[in-house]
Amino acid sequence: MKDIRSVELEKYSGDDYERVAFRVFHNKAGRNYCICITADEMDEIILDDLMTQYELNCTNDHCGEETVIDGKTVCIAEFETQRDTLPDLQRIMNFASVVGREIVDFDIDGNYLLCVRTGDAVFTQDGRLVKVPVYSVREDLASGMLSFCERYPDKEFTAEIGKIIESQFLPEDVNFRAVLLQGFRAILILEHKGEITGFVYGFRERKCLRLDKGKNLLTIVRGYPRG
Amino acid sequence: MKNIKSAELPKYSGEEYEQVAFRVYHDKKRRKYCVCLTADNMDKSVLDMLTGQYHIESPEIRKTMKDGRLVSAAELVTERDTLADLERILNIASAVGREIEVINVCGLDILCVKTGETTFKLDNGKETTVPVYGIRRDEYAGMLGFNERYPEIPFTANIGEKISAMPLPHVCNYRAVLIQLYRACLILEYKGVTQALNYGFDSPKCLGVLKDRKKIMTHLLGYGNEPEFGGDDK
Repeated sequence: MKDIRSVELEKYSGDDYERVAFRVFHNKAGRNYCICITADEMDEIILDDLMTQYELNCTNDHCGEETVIDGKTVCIAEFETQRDTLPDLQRIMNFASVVGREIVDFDIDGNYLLCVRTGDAVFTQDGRLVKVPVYSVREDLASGMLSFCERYPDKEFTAEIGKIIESQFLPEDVNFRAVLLQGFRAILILEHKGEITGFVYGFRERKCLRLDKGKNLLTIVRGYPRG
Repeated sequence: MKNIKSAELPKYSGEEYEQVAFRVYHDKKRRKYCVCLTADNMDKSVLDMLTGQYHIESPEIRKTMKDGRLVSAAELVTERDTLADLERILNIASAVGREIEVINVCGLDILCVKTGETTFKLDNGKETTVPVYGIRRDEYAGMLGFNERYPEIPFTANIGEKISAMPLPHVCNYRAVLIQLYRACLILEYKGVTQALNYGFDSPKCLGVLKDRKKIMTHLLGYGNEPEFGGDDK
């Protein structure tokens, strides 16, 4: 989901709505908070994951359909919280930080991880230049406390990870998919003969620390064991 | 820090301030967000950790009378008024009504919210009770609030039963249980050395004993978020 913007719906100028901040509105009649966003496309899986993580629902007015704004066709969705408590406001503010960012649902063996793109990693492999996207993992199904704002050391790690990868041994004949950032670890995800492997690099150590597959790989990219 | 409440300062009724929500105000002139918190007794080290984690200017703690009681008060102010600043101060504001503590494990301060207490059996037939905390350390981003985080509440309720499945030696000093999502560590000291017993939310008994401080930190803070103790990542 790219080119994400927040928009003000006409109804927000009515008496039932009061602006909180950053185009998040308090629906005084409905006793919840809401925000309307547009994007180039709205995949159902990513919308569902975002709504689950931040405990939001799509309103009946807009739920991912196409519309034309300023002569450009975009997808539009209005999200609302369940109630108007402080946790509801925190969640919708965290969600509001998707504006201006590129959000993906990164698939590892059918497990989808909410991520925000932080840039690209470029490195040489067998004499050819490889470029893969770098994503910072923002999965937080337990509470929706993580936002899409910049998180240290994502920016620094994104800038350096290509050089760190290049300086280490990498297997040949593999499909490089992406680099996932989780805390002070970067995991280069690659695919070989249908099997997914993660090369785990340390920000402080500036080297490859281990290889992980399967459940261990999921644990390391999520940061913690889940379930 | 107990009995945390938010308070309205007289200046907030002035034109320069506009309430965002839940007693968090926008200082329109200085372009910052602010909230005033009171507590029974504000510990400077806890407050410093809070302000550091949430990118808040270090506040002054004042003693004041509120509802006939002497309490500590501090006004917390963000660096700027960006969305990230607002998120952070709302996260701090969620400390209202909760008990916040800094627990020192292996020399590292860990910001926590108390979720309850748990009682378990020892090998001499007696029982002991320790506090249970949810970990909220996120020193570089301040993205964690103090709201309940699943599965802390059910985990707090059943961790005593898991620990009691194998009665523990009475000679140890049991300090606390720290929860990090689906893992809980019972922190204990034996002959001055800190150890941790590792429990899983989905597992009925202890998953292992952690003696190495780096491994303890991995379990408490997540993979790759451990402080630099030296040594290899294994």
